Amino acid sequence: MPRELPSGTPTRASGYLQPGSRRRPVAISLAVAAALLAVFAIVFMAGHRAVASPGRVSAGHAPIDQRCAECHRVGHAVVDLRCERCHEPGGTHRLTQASHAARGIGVTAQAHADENVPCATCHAEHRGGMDLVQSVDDRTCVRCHQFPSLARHPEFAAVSVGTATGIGLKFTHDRHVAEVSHEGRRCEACHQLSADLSGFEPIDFDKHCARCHTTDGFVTGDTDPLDGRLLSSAPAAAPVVTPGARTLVTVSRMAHRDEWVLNNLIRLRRIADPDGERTERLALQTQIAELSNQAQMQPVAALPLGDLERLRGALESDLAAPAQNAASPNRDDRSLADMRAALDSVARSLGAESTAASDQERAAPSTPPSSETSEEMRAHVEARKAELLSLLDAIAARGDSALTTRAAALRARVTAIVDAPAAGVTDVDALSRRLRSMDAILRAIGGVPDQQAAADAAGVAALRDAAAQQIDGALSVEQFEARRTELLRLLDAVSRQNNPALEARIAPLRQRVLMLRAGETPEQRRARTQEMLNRVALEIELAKSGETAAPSAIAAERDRLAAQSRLAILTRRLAELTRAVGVAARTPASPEEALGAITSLAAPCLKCHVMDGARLAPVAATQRVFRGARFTHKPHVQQTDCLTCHGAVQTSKQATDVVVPAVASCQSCHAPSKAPSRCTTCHTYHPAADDTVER
Amino acid sequence: MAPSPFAPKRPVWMRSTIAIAVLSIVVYAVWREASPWSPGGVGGLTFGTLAAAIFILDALYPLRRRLMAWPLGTAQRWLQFHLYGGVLACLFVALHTGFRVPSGAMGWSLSLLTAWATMSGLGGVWLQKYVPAKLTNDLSVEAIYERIPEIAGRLQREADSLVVGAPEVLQRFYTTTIRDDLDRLKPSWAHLGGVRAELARRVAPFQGLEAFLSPEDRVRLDGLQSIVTEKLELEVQYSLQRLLKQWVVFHVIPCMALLALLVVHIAAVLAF
Amino acid sequence: MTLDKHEKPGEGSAVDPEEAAAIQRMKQYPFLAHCSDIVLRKLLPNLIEKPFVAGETILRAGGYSDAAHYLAQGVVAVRMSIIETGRPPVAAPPADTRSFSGTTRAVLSRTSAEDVVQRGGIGANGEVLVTDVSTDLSPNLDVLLQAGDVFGEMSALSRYPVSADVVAQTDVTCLLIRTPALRMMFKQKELADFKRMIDERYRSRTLANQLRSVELFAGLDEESIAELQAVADLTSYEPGAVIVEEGAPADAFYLVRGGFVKVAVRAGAGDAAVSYLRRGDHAGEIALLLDRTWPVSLHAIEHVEMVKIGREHFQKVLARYPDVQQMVWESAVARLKERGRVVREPLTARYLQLAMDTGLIHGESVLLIDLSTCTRCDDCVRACSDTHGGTPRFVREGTKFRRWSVPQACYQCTDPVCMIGCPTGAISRPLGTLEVTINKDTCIGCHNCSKRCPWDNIVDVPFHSPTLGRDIELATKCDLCLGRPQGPACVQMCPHGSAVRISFKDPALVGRTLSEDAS
Repeated sequence: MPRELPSGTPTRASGYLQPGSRRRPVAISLAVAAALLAVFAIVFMAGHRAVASPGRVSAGHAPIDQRCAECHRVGHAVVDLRCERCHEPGGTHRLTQASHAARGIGVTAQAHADENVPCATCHAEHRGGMDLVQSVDDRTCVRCHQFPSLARHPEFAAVSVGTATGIGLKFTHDRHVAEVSHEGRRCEACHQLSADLSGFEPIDFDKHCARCHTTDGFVTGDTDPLDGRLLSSAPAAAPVVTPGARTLVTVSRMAHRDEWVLNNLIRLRRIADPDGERTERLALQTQIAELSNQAQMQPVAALPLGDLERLRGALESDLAAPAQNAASPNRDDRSLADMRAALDSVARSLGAESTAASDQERAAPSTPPSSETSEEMRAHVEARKAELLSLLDAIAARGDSALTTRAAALRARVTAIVDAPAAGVTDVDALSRRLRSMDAILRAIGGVPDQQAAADAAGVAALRDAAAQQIDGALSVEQFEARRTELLRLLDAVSRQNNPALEARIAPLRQRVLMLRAGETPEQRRARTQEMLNRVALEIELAKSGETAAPSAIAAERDRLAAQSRLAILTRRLAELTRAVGVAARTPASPEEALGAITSLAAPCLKCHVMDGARLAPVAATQRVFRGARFTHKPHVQQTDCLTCHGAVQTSKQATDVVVPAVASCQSCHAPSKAPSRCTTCHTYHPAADDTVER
Repeated sequence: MAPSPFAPKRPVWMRSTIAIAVLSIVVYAVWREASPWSPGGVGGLTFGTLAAAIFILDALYPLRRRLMAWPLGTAQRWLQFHLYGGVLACLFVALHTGFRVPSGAMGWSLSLLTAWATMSGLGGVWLQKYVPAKLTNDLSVEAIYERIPEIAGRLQREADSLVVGAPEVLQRFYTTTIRDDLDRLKPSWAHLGGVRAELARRVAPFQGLEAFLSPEDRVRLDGLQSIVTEKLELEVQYSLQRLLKQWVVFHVIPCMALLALLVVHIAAVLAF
Repeated sequence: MTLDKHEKPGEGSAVDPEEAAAIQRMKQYPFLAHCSDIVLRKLLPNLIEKPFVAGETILRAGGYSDAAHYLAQGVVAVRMSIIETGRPPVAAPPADTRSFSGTTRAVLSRTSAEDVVQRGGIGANGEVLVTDVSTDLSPNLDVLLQAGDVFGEMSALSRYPVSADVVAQTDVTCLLIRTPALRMMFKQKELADFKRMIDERYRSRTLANQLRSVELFAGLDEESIAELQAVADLTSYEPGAVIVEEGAPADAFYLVRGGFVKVAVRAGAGDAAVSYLRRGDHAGEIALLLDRTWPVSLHAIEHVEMVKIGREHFQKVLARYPDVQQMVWESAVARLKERGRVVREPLTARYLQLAMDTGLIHGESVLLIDLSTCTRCDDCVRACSDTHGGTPRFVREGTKFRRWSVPQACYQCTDPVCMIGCPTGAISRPLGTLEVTINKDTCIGCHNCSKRCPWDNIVDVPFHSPTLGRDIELATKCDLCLGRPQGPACVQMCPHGSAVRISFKDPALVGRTLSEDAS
């Protein structure tokens, strides 16, 4: 019979049948998967830590890709301190939310009250080498600034609010434009583009104005008659002085920026408006002190490990020291006393004998006097002076010529210190309280987006600081800075000894000296000490872990250079303000008389210049209209004409006109499919390194 | 009418999966418009956590298959969840990264392993619908995988005994042409395409021989042909069943590796 | 008592002296006294004298008997341990599988099938039980039978489960008349008395109950039932016989006592199977009440016993009950629809025919695997193995019907042949349950059951017996995972839902399920 193809199973199993074992495929899969994992593990152990990260870091961070500890700490989020270590080593808080807000508001005190936004919130890493960490999405800005795009950008503050003082000159564009166009020229007659086309050369009187506004090099016009005895002749030679009735004289043939005129104006101002002058001087001094600290301070990362540890120890003991009474008159003295103690030990190691006075002095700082009479205060000062002098003698005894000269100079100054006159027994606490209550008002005023108001508030704040200093009986900024500078010079001298034992102690001392600020409350001091301690502790931790290396010095160098350039400008200004101005025959009897004299003397100047209190308003050679935005003229001048945006100059009659186009004119070209219109096109969140805020 | 093997067995689940997928994409798109997307942000983390959770639940399916005596629900429901969940998890991984190209060893590994696991899984779905239909409709013989070598050996012996006493021509035909085919199992993935061509190829030599044989020898020839056909069908059974078993390994490897790397990834993200 | 299923009653030509002696012995029985020698010789292999000692259980309730027991000498007690209404025995309360805690408890306690059986578990189907002992039996009361009584013939003839325990009170000798002998005896004219006796016993004891079990007669009063009882004809048919021809005038109502009947319609040159009838089913009421000819033909698939009620009596009794006519109308519509469907889809008929040919119609719960979705992963076998301590109870080998495969797993037959002849009673079906189970502890490995199963569905498992000190093979079979709250493990663990268990009780459902075919 034919054999049939079975439908179903050909035969039946004769015996028992167990299903196939699943062990083999499971074992194979496990083995392969384990091998894959082993590869990862081996690569990780071999030091290639980046295999554990979910994505490669951006190209900018590529060199530290393998060093996780640079940014990360196990169990914690990435803290700002680690970012600042490389990106902002100077400790200027430039990269904080406070800085950002302050640039817009103009008052750092209020800005500090804002909550800080951690760096990692906007700058996300581990998204691959092509990612731009600094490119932040527009919508992050929208979180605080409530408009979603350039199309809805509110009117520019400069346009809507305007400037009160303008450029500091009575300048009418329409007249000048007409004049220039008669000659067949246009804007370029006065406004020359800089070499990189981004901006314009500053307006210079000699270059741009002198041609029409001077005759034979002299400003046209004479002064009003004024009392000649009020004027001094030294140091510069006077222009032509024509006597008039009685003691009145008239001055003529003044050059622009005539030195003699300026000297007299400054001297008269000191009498007409001493507070104003003092305010200005204080502001400059404070800023100079701040900037000089920045310039001199070594980034923590550059210190060797030993120095770091010593510094940490010192900072910790600073913090642990009992909080001092805010009204103590010895606040600044105390910090200096600490310095002195350190120097003392240095001097001892130089071989000088410790005097009984220094022993006494060491005991004294541990018991801060809470309330003292003027007698005791004077005794304190005398004791300090004596102690300092003995120390200086010890240093001079060393025989080093440089040291000796220094010591001698210092000695002269120390002996010149006169005890501050006791202003009677004042209720220090009540005054301090009233000062503090002013703080709240100042903050509120500072929040108003009005430049004039902000400036006024800044002035009041400076006065307040001065008052605080006076009430507390502390040192003035000048004195403080002077004493600190001396200490620094001493340290420099010691370090030049090239004594290795001493070297180790110099660097931490330097840092601590540079950390001091005049007029600081203990809370502020503690905060800053704590912050420095955090930085130092982080640096030590990173150095010990062995995984990280010191950051490149470029950021620190840039910060330092920025500080230095600004410092140069401010120092020059301060020098101008405090220069020797000679002596006149008669001092004005009252501020009003001085003011009258100023106005008469400056009569020719006032044809163009404006008066600001008791001085000529400073002229802004380059107007910085946008506080928070960057604007380069280059792409605009290459594509359009000046008058497209600045057409208002043809009819501008006032100097306070801000000839800046409204936001609408920007929006016509800067729109989604046309010119770039992202937030970051014009704005940056962080102020630039050379862009410090004036207070 | 029986449902086509390729139709979803639980249409409700498929519809819900599609609905969830669409909803997730919409949520993602809307969220992305409103604020920048980050895998570590609230949205990204949600999708990432969901994906991880689904992966872990999916990995429990083989465990369910081991604990057969326990009342944990039918295996079919578990498998359906495994499939639909896996697809959703793959989508969630893509949403978690914001559809960004991966970077770094870990990023690439996770993405590639996810893709491998999902694609191999979907390939397996297709295989597991296609192969049974093929085996059932194209073949008549049905045999257990582990027994096929034994049955093939038996066929060999049966064929040998069938040609005993056969005329010379038949014996020669057998030894030269047929015996090779019967000798051992030669599994091949080519059988996935169908058996008809191969059957025609193997049966073709029989056509010419009939004229030379007596009626009873023709019966023998038919018997031989039937044996050859049965052997071929056994081979096809063996090949395709073996393919299914090989697929399991191909799918499980990336899944295990993915789970391990997932643990590392989660640990790294939590620690930093 | 090993029995080969292929053995037939012997046909010897020479007279064997032993045989002659046996024949003489048989002739001593009163009902065999007039039987001719030739007939007796044919009957001889199936006539067995068997002694029982006092206290021995001759028949167990729920078990099956393949012989009528003629009590030659002694006294037996018939013990009814259930109530006659047909409710299953009240056993230990089942695991509450609706609640999670209940399910967990049930699973964790790892109730094995055997334990449940011993406690008397409750299966999915309750069976209507038919008594084959005289008089009303009260629970736990013994009824005594004397010499000359016959018991167990219902089970032998009609394959009912034995409804009561029969225990020997004294030393007893029985003549076991096995089913083939019984059937042969019914055909002999000289043994007509015997047949009449058996029939009378059936008629008086059981027929009334069976008639009442027909839903048509559910509302009939006692008188009507008695009337029908009196006029009913008891007929039997050989395998393959045509009981009723299609087109013949309808002249009787048929009730199936035992065996399977094929219902077919003529389709072209052959007969297409429309349905099948089993014990308890009936046919003919539609034809009778609508006064027509038979729309279908009835064929006996195996030995069939029928109860036949003539047209006049049937119509007379039912005329008193107009509701019944309404019922008949409704069922007529349903049956017509079913028949029409089969005619439209010849595949259904083929499947039904195949099921009849291969014995699947016996199955109360047959495991079928849909090969078009099965990935041959063997998870069903593994699940069975895990649930049963490491040894699977079935093999995934079997016949293939288009896309369905019937693996060799126990069909849970309505009338399990395997239960016949178990010496220890290890194989049993608790009353009212589907599952035929084998008690591992009492199985001695005699292979009676595994040899009897016509489809080789009983698996012999090697086992080292501590008492015997050697390896034996125990019989195991699918027990529908009795004691597993979620039901059969194979069905639950198939990842693609390819494994299904269907009951062949409802031919319409079977036809629909099997014939859903894509091509």
